[in-house]
Amino acid sequence: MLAFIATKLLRSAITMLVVVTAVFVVLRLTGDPIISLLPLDTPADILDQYRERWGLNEPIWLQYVRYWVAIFNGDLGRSIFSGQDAVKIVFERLPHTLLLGGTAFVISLVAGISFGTLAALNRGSLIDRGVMAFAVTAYSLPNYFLGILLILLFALELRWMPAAGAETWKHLVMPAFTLGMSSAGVIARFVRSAMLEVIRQPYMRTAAAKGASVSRRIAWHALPNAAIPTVTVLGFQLGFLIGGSVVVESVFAWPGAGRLLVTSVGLRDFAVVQTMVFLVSATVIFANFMVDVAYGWLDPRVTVTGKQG
Amino acid sequence: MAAFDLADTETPSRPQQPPRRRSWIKRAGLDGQWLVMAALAFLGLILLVAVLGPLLQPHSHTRQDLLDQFLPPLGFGGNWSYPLGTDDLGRDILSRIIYAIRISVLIAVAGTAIGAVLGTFLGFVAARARGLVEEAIMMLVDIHLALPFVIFALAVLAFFGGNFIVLIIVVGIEGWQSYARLTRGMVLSAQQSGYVTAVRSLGFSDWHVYGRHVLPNILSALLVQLTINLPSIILLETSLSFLGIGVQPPMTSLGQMLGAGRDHLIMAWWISVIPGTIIFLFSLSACIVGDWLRDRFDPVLK
Repeated sequence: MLAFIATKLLRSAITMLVVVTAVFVVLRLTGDPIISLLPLDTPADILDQYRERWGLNEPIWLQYVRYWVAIFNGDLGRSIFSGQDAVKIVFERLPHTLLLGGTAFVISLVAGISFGTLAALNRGSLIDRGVMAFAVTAYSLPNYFLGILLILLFALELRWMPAAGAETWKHLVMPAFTLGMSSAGVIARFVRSAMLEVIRQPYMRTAAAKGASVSRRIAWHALPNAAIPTVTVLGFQLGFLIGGSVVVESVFAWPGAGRLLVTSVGLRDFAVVQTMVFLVSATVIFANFMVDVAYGWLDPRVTVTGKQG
Repeated sequence: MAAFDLADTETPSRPQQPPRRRSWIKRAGLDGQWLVMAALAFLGLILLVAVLGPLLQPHSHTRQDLLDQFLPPLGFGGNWSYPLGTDDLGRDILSRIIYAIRISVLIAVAGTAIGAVLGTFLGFVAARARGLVEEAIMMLVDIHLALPFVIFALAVLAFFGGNFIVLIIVVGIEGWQSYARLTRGMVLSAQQSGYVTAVRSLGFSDWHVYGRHVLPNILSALLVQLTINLPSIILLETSLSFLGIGVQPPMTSLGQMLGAGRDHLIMAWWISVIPGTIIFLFSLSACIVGDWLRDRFDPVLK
């Protein structure tokens, strides 16, 4: 188990290094932020002064070394526009994104697991078909389009819900639903096939023979075993939710980190984009590391070498 | 001949009738089949529109007519000269949709080709080289799987200023990992099988062994994967265009139209709902056909 965790940890660290390096290089090769910061007719020597002040005239490898030294000192750089600490700017927006993403995650989990279980227990029935139809529809319906349909119906037509902003709990309903839906479809599909696999197992028959009730058999015997393959998919869904929040926050004018990313990218605000990518990568890589560990813990058959590729 | 026909239909037809009818009912009962047929028909229609493109456009997709702004579609008070209505600049939605389908299909096809070729090649390399090279490629796969790709696409595209070629490459890179994983797995098992050993013992080069013998054997599974990947490619392009960093005006794609129509939701819902519906049906059809192909031709992928 220790060797398993150590290998996973090393892989996570290398992944992190590759991602941070790739973003650093891509950002610096593709555009000069000073040009978009200052007016077009700024004299060249003033441009150079600015570059010098932000350390942008140094060779890229030196900038890269400085970047890592700063990270280990807890400094992820400053926004080139406001001069504020990039981490501070991102953290101001983060609670909104966490609230939206968290609610969406709960919605997708509850809907996905219950729909998937229902479908598996009623295989071939109308319920099963309905769930499968829901899963395919939810996956194919782009979240920005679902958002716009919801705005049209509930905000503009019926006037039940606000279309944009984040003041009350009502503002949260439509974005969270929009963001949770496509994940719910994927999870439902996964839970369904995992459950179908599980209810065929001999221990389910044993449980029935012992006289365990249906609800106990499902909750106590089937669901934990079906959870094993589902856990992996949850790790990927987190990345999916973060990606989706960028779009959904844009649709509903939700003041979260996703929208901050879209605007910072447009302004070439290196420090803010890098900080965002750093935090997102760290979160997702950590979550997947936890998923791997949970997998090894839930299913003792998994070993480092025996893991299927 | 006539007697033979008669004899042929006379005797076996009675016992044969019930099973044939039952299988027909069974097929109709699996409304999946009807759905698949509808999905195939829709994909065919989209492809036809994409190919014929300009021949079908009643107007130019950029022609503005400020006197005919915000005309609703037929059935909502519109007229026949603009069957799907007009947008904020008085441009014909039908013509713009036809043009947008052409661009979106072009990006989807080119992106799919890039991803499939890149991924399949790396899958072959991983399976052939083993060791550190394989380890590195599979780690790239893991990285790609773990991270939200939209964020990287966003960073790259914004810095390249919405370049069309860069957009196609970015969309293409999205799918490479699924081909790489699939190819690696299949090539690894092919390397164990007799025919590869046989061809290799004849002294043929790697290109011959993998290109002429292994690739044709795994091609059908790759084609199934290609269909399964299509929806995510469509959704990525439309998301990026929706955010304003994909296809740039005056060019337009389905996602770009939807994003542009968002500002006029109160005035004119049809500007965004029509392209949105087509994106949805496009990706839904690809999903349905992909699932069907997988169940039919490749039970292993299930």
